[in-house]
Amino acid sequence: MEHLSFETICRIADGCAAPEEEDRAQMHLQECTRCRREIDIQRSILKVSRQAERVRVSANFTKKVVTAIAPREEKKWYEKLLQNMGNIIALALVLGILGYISSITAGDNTRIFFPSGNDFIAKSANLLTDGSHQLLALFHSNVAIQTTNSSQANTILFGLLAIVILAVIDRVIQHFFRNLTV
Amino acid sequence: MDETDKQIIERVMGGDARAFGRLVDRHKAKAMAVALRILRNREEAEEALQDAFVRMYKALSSFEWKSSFSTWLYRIVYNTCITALGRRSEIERREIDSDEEYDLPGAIESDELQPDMRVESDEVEKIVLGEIDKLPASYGTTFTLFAVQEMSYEEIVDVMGLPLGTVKARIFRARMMLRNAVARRLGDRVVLLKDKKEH
Repeated sequence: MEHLSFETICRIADGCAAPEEEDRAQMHLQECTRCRREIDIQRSILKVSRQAERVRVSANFTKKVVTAIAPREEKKWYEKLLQNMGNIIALALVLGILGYISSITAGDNTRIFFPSGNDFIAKSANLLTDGSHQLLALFHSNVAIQTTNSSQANTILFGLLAIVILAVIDRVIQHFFRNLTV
Repeated sequence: MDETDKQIIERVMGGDARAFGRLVDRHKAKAMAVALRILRNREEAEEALQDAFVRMYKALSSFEWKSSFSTWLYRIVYNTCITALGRRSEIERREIDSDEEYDLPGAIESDELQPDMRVESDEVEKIVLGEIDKLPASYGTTFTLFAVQEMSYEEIVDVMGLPLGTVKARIFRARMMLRNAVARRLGDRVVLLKDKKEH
């Protein structure tokens, strides 16, 4: 018995044989176990290849591509300034606080007066001053840090406060200005 | 409802570069299969694939929908990988890119398969996967486009830029090699052909 050619077997397995070829092959397949088996094998190989060839790509692949295609524009000077505004404001505040500490640690009960007569700002500033004095008193009485004098304790306390304030303000302002510029 | 490739591309063309990420997500796994088949090295394949997607992004405005999007994508992936392969070895590049005509295999000569033999899908899967990796890169790539990407011969011709006869011969030869491997490994076994979903 003459068997089907491999090409015909593949075409039958793929379901793309011409009608005449299909008819002839079907007549042969009624009698030929071997060719039926070959068709089964080819169908199986294709099915397995389609189902099984799953290729994993690294998790950040898409991100890498999107980053590569994103336009890289040079930032303008005011955008750079806005992006660094957090640092600038935080630094100014810390310098202000440190200046204020030196006035407190000098020992006098400093009061702040505004020549413009802006009562609200003056009251707020004095409230802060009073709050700071109360905080210092609390610190001295309750916190078990032994220092040679109150000036050292004040420096430690305000140093810690300055770091926390710097970090918080920087995060908040960086976030705000990033949203503004992006 | 899922967006079609065309809808995503229209968004990308409209200035939404991030939508391109969805297109990448949709096609990266199958495109990686082709890249890996050509380059046989995961890192190089991923690098070439990334390069291919960037090239595709840059060329999107020139795509005219005369061929299917996936054919166009695989052509870019294929060419990028061939270029990468060329950097590695001229011999390897020539081997995969050769358009030399092969004779199609005729009737099956070997008779390792016994009349009562059938094929178990799990075993065939193991054998076929192992054997696909052993195929010469030219056959493996062509077979992957045919079997995994389910492309027609004509689409593969379009992707690889090879004559139809070469493409057909490579696919038939790959299938013959896989068939022979299955027959060699399971020659004396009685196993059953099952649909994978039944397991």
